[in-house]
Amino acid sequence: MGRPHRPSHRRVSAVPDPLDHLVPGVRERDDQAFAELYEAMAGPLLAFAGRMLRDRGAAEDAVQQAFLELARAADRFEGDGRSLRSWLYRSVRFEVLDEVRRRRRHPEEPREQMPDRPFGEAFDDGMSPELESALAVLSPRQRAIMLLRHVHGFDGAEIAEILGSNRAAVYAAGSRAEATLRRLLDGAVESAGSSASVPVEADGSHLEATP
Amino acid sequence: MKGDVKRLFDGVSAEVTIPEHLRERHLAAIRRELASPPVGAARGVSWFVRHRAALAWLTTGITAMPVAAVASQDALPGEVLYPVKRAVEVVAEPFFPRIQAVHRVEELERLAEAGVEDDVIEQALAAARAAIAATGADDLAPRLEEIAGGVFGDDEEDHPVGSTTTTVAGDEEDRGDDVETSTTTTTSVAEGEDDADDEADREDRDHDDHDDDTKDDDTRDDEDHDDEDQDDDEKNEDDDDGNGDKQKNDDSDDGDSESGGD
Repeated sequence: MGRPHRPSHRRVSAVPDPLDHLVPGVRERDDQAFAELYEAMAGPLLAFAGRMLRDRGAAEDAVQQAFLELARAADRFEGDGRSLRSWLYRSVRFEVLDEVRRRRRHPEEPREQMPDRPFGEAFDDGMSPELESALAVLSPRQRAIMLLRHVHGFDGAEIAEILGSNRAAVYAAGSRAEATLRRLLDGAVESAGSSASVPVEADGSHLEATP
Repeated sequence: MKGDVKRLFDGVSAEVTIPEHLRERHLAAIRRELASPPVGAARGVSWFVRHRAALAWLTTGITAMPVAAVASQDALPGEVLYPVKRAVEVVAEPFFPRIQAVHRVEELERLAEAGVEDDVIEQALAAARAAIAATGADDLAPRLEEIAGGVFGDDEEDHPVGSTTTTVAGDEEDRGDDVETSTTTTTSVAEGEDDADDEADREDRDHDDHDDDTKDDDTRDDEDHDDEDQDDDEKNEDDDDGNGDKQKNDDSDDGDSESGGD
């Protein structure tokens, strides 16, 4: 698929990670290790992809692709459990980007995202419709930063790694995103549910000028 | 300020439940992928395979250089590898100061044995003289003259100036029209022992070390000026007998080329 990413995470953190023990098996392309990794990571990855794409089917495909990519390149993976996790998120993000680009090229297709319809019904992650609508206003990059930071618990360096960016850029984009969310939700929280009132001026139209 | 935004995400779960049918489908696909040959391994491990073309060229190049350098050591003037030989000499000269003189004499000897045209011999002789003068390998001079005498022995009786050599070769074919050439050559040999001349040659060499032809030219020019001027013209006419590019270059460099002479 000619992806621009490779399993090149070499950062090894001192803190033990629940995925650490799977790394040797993954590198040996062991079925059992992959099954365990899937059990541990498929849920979070699907939550991330779903919130990014607002499309459950596309999100499921993205998760599957990420694991298949890893299966292809596992023997070259270098790193610990934490970097394995980052690697999977990164892979999912690339799948998401592919999907977003595909939608841009074919806006007439039914998978076109519909910010007005709450996606939460298809997803049991507990996100409020207001937050969902506000996130839909952000660019995909800003949305990814918000989700990775506040939902999935990554720090700035890890997010930069996942996004293929640097910490300063992530921090700047994150600050803008938070300012937007604050502005939108300060009013929106009170007038709950009126997601149609959310301005659409920044609706992901400046996709990824990744440095 | 960050805290307030963080609170917006309170209660948002970092994962969603994977339905059984989805898990089965995904795991089946993953197992299929794992069962197939690792694409990554094929790409990763076989770096040498992916770059085999470049490696082949690189290896060839690295191998070819010393091979060419070694092979060139037997090259004679006019052969493909001869310039390589000269280049190697330049590199080797600091370590083997006499290498040029030794090679020139050796070449002359082999050319003489091979019985090539006179003007080729003549040029090799001039080059050998220049090299001996430049490197101070005077002990090679007698050998040089011996060879020269062997080649041009027929003419030495008529031109005693070159008769410092002792060997006389009597079986040369008749070369009546080359008498003048021989005269020039034997004269040159005799004058090669002149130190002042050698010094001039050495200076010429320093400027033209990279250019065999030019060097030979300069060398011979110096000799010719000391000799009778007419020799120069006559020699060039002989050169026009057509003995390869080297000679043609000489003609044009001399500035009085009379191509098609004879």
